[in-house]
Amino acid sequence: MRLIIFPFFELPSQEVFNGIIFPIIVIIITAILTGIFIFGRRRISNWWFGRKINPKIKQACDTYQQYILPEYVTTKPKIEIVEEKSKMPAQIPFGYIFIPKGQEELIWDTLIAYLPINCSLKRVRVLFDQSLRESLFDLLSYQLGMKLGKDEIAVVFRDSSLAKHKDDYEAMERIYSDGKLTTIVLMEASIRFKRTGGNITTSDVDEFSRLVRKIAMINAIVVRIGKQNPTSYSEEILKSGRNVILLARGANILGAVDVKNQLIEKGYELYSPDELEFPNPEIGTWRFEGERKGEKPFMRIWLKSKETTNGKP
Amino acid sequence: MIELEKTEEEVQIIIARPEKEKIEAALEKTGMSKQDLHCSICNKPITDIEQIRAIFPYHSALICCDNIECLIACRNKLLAESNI
Repeated sequence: MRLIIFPFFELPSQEVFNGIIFPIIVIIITAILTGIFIFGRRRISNWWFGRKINPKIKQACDTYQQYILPEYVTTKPKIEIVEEKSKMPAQIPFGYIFIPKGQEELIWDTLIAYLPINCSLKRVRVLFDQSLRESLFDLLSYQLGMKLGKDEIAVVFRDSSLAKHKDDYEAMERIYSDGKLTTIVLMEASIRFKRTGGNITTSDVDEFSRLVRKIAMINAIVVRIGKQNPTSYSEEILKSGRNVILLARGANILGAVDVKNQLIEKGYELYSPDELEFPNPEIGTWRFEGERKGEKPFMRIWLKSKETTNGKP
Repeated sequence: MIELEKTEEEVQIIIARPEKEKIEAALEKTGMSKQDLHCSICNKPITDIEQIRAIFPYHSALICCDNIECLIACRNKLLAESNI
């Protein structure tokens, strides 16, 4: 059958199409697909690599910032996925991480190990002696791993640290679980860092590390005093029977003083400055960054229950 | 948030597939030998490039194999070199 559309243009017959044009079309399509496969395979593979890695990086960064060390994630590492050699950066980076094809899950142990040191505590970490510093970051990695659901990786950090410096890891663990890491230890570190102007001596390190170990020994919980009725805080503390560190900022300082008075009436007493080696109550300035940028006075009050035998530092 | 942390600079981390030319480029930048590669922690020779997990050019230029214990030890070495 011949189909006439214009006088000068006719579609080929079925025989011509089957015999000549169809094979040519097949050859062209095959050539195009081969070209895409040869030249695009690498690009597709690299795109797929980024697609698998990027969500993991985001999840780890967000989890660390939101749950593990809130308020103290001061920067995030600039993580770049490099697909071609030509795109390797000209300047020397902090590190290169290599993840084999199809084994993208291996990125987790690297993120768990290196995100804490790259995101947080970059300056004040020098105040901790080596054993405490390693224990601190082992603990943060352990916490991050557990929160990410990578328990089998997390326990390697914990076990490795326990084998190397058991006492210090346990000290950091107590500090973290009692809520004393950000509210006391890191705050104190920043004050000392500022006081020294960043020129940390070995004496500063020795003295601060001794203080951290002492804070860990004091079996006390940190209670942040907010806008609730002071009686509700004191009742809760009395129910727990534990030594307590009251933390209040701004207008809530008055509430903290009320809670302290109520607790003293019920048998609590203030730690002496000699026991703590710093004033009690402690008064200072809390500095906020980001959206809440500004300064507020803060107060910490250390109280021990007379009934608690381990209240002594 | 503590006041003195706000001036921190971000660090750059490159993630790539362990391909010969990329590893050579990373080693070249640090002036490290491309021959006789071995883990800086456990000293295990790295015969297969897929065994390289990380290269840290900073200060002592560390090569780290795919053992998690070596990753932790590498991190500790970097921590010991203080303000990274």
